[in-house]
Amino acid sequence: MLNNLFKKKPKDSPTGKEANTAEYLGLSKTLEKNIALFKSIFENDETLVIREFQNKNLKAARCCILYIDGMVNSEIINQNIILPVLRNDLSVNIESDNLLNELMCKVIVSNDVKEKADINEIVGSIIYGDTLFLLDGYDKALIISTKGWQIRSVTEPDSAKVVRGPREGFTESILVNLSLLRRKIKNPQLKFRFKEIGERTHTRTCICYIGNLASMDVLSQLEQRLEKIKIDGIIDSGYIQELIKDAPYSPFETVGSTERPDVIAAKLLEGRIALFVDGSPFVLTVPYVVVENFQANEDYYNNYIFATMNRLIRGFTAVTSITIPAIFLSLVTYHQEMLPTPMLLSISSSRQNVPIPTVASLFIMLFIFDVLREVGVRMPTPIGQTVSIVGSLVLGQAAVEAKLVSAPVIIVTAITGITTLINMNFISATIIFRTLLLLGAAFLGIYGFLLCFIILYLHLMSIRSFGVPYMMNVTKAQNHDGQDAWIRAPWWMMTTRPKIIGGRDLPRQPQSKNEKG
Amino acid sequence: MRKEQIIDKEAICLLISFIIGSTLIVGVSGSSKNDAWLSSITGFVMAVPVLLIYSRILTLYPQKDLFDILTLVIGKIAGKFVTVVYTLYAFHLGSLVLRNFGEFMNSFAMPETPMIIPLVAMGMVCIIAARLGVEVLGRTTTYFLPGIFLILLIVQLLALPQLHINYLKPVLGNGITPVLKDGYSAFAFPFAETVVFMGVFDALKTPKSPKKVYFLGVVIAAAIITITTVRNIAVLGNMLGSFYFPSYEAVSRISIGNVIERIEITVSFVFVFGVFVKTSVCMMVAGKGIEKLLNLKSYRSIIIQIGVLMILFAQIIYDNIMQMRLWAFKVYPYYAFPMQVILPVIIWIIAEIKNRKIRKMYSNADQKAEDQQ
Repeated sequence: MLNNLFKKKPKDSPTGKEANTAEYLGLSKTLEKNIALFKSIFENDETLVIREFQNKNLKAARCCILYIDGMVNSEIINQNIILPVLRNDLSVNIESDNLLNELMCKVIVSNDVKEKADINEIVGSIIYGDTLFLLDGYDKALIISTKGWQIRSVTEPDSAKVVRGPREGFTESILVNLSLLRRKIKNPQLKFRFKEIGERTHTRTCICYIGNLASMDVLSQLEQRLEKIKIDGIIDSGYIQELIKDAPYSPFETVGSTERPDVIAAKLLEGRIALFVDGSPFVLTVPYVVVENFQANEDYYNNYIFATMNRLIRGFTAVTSITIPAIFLSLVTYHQEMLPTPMLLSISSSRQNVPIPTVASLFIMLFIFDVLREVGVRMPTPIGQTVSIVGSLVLGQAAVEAKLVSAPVIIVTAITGITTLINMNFISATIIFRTLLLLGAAFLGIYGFLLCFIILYLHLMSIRSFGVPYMMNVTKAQNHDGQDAWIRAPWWMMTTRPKIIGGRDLPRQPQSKNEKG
Repeated sequence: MRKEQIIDKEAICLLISFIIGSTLIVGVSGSSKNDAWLSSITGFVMAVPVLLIYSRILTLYPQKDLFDILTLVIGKIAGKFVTVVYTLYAFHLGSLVLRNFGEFMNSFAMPETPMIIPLVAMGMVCIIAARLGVEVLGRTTTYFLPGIFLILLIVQLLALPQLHINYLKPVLGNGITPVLKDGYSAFAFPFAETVVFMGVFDALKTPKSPKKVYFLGVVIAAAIITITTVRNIAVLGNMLGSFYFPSYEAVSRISIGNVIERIEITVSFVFVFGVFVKTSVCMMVAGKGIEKLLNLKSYRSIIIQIGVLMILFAQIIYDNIMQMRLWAFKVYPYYAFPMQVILPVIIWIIAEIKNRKIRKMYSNADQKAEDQQ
């Protein structure tokens, strides 16, 4: 299968098409013709820099370098390519006839130099920041690695800040990201497999896993799905996340994403597989099951009791963010007898003189909350004060005082909104199913709520992530799978990896190996 | 497509919810008055032999469902005929259960809402479940059942102050005949209804487990039904038979310190969930029967039509709730007898004979092979 993968590559590679339209002749032996060839390939692209020069001692050594401005480190080019070639007394130092080879071996100072003749590969490398070195009289060229563009430095990601734990986050450069990961897992079993996706953008992606831990089924499935992607451009890993999803219409994510190297390292150690995408600080992980929505990296660094409590809070709020409005609605409109009398009285007195029915006011307030949330993300930071004042005072207090909505509705909306924000991972699912449950409750009271809740569960049970049931199939789960699900067991207790992911070599701490043996 | 698989635990949970679902709320037949709990035990005891037969048939033909077994055992033509019988039975049973739910909603929860609305709402959820298949249904049930047990337990504990144990006396005051009669009615509804599970238990992962699954499931369900019946009698006394939905009535009398009262809605949670499981399973089995009958690729393509027909059938099946109770307790046991007892027994006997023959042939062949060696 691997062979197939590599064989297909040149055929799929769209550079072929572009080169075909220009001239698919290959390099010629004259320097001028070669330069003209590259000029025609990069027609109307004025970032291409062509610099011709000549060794002062050996007149035959007419050379030329080509690179894309801005993608290269010009210091390397000046100091390690041009200077040695210009200054070196070639007429004395050169022994064999193959001048190009001699230059590569003895003159050019670079850690990565390759001799290439294939136009497609050469063009690809130039675009990716390498420098092309042409020599008169040779139909081969040298590709010298001179990549050097501006990248964001490694900082703490804004999307997931921690109090305790490593503070570095991924950047937009795939190689920096891989090095961040490599620094955490120093093991030759850590495998990296590159693959280009995107007919036009040629985005580099990297499948990363630990050779003797990851499940081969999942790996081959991932490769098949990536192979099937035919898209012209990948700008962010979000594209791939949606393209390789198991249940495309489901609002639940079945592919995880994170910005933190420590999370990726931990997931790889559990037998998962990561997918790095160049240009995106978000790295994908598969398979992804429901409890991962509630796991935070800090859980594993803090005391286990505290971590368990936080995790339970996340799980509980996830349920409340979906169900609270519907339960409230069915209690106050259909099943008032369930409420204790004093509570019922206070609720109904606050509902007096309110013209809008509870259902409508709930929908309106939840919608307004979502509007506020979106404004909070989109607006420029300096005018943030306005939104909070308008949101809290005008829409909350003033609306109640003006008798447009009742106070309990505002409270329910606030609880729902805040609990939704705790679990940003599945906010789309929360919004969809919250609306569904609310409709059910408006329609048939608690019975409608219950029926819609059953639909939600049926949906959750039916989706899978790369063959692993999304809800982790409680009945099949072993003791050690539960240790890291709704609770976080102390580290000395978690002796095995989660079995459900399908990884191999389950023992994580040596004593369990003894038990097993 | 991947073959669906359910493990024993999921199958047991399915069976429990299937059995307790409608029975918990409709209750066992009331003519035995305060001995109704005895009749639920009697019903379970009566059900043991047929359960043995069901599980034996399934064990003889592992990974095969009822309709495959019918063709294998009694031939193609007769098999098709019996397939029609079972398909209609599953279809009818599903409609009956759906109608139970409709009647309950119509007479207690929402008297002013036309019955078709709760029927359609429930029917749609069941269609979704039946389309997703038995594996998803099994897993969902396994997730929900602990919650259901918790509700039952809490309600049971909260009912303690209302219990009057002396309502249970005199035990067998009216003689044994009404108990046996009601026991038989409890045998037919709900215990022997588990015959429809033969249509979906081809998905069982381990081939030897039908016996274990059937027994654990039915024993737990019978225990729950008996305990609930005891509670209902102890709360309501002799009036038990005069209520349409005794559990609902019994729980509505719970009142703890003016805070926890009118919690009968929790009973209807159990009821809604049970009806959902039962109707979905029946829908699935009816679909599978038609799939085998018409040689379709998958029953999923016709499940929506079956579901809609079931909803409509449920709408016209009874005129009123009196007729429903009359049917459920007086007519149904005799109506269901062929499907629940006669046909399984015939299939079992023929299957046993055929299997003996095959085994003999195999052992003869083995011996011959040994002789030749």
